[in-house]
Amino acid sequence: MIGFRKRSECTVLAVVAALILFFAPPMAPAENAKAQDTVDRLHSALIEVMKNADALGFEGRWKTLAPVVTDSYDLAYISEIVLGREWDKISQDDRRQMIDTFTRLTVSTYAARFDGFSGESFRHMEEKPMNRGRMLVRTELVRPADEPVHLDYVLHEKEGQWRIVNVVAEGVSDLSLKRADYGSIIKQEGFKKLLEKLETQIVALRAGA
Amino acid sequence: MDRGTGRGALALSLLLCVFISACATVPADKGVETPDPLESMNRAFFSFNDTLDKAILGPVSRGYVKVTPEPARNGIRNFFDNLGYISVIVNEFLQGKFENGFEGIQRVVFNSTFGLGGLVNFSSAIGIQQRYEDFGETLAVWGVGPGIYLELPFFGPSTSRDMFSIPARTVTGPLFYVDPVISIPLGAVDLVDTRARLESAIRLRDETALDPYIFQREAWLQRRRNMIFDGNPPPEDLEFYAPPPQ
Repeated sequence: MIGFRKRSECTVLAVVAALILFFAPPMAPAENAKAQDTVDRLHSALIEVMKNADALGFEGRWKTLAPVVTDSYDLAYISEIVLGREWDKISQDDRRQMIDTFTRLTVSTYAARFDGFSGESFRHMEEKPMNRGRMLVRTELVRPADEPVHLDYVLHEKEGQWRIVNVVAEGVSDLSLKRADYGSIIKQEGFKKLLEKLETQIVALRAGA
Repeated sequence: MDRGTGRGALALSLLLCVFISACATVPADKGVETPDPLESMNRAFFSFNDTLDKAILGPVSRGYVKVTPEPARNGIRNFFDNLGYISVIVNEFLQGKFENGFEGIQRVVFNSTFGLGGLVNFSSAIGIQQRYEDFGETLAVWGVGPGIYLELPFFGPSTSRDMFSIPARTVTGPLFYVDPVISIPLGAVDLVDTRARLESAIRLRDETALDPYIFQREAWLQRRRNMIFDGNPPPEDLEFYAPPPQ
């Protein structure tokens, strides 16, 4: 772990942020919605939850964030991507189960980790189009006592609304990490075992919060 | 490390580099992906490193954080960052980033004088940016591909290209040239401080990863690529395979 030196702490803090960032207040579909709006709403909700973290408690944070997560992220799509080729092999019931489990895991992760406020804020850097109609929104998480963390969001448009499909923190893609991590478990132990492990993580997050 | 001991360590790390390079058939650079043909060996070294960390380094670094007040830890961190900055400067010049290199010299001079021997990060306070470069990044800038992924015993994640950073950092570090009575205890403090900085990262990995080896490998490789491009990797890095929904 010595090779994981110096700026790497920031790295993995960034990974933390990537694994954590999934909130936005409920929003109505808008025909001319912008990708930036989705990210802004997410960030605003995130700051609010952090400021009220103690009063809300884990359950309160979970309930507040659940609609936000499902609205600002395309979790069905992300579930498909992180399973890779396995998605084509499993039944419709298993797919529904995967989306449900992954959604609860995502909300639980953020409810567990966004449990305090130390003056953080988000700064919008730029927005630019990507291939296949996607948009890239570059932002920074500004921390008063530390270096800022670069957070890039990749969004696509679905049913008239821009939804986040990936967060890249200091160059580390949450989607790629999960795809590799989950793929390893599927390869070694199978899809059912992956679901079991994700359920165990959900329980651990709730217990540890 | 004195010169003799330091040279021994340097020779050992170079030998390790050459050995691993020789036994690894390096496939062509696949862009973002770095192959891992020695996964079985790497996993064994990962377990070894992790066991060592959980048994010794982790508890020692947590003890260090507990007994050392934060201002003192910041001073220690600044001191070692300043000491290691000579390596950054050398690599800035090797990569042709002359302006950054000269700024780096300025940074070390100010921190070593007004910053009380590096204990105070004076340069950052007056707006001189702290950067990071190493010899692996220099090789990448020179066009050398990452080769294969490697988990090195004691040193952790690397590649057959990036492992050359270890001997390069050793010879560009001032501790290589001083008496072991000074360099060994200082090196030990540097190690503990570095581990303490990684505490949150390692804890996150342990809490989040289903397969910690894969998680660390992917995170490290992606982060590494981002560093090589100084935080601005090509946009295609952010693209991914699947088509958008219909």
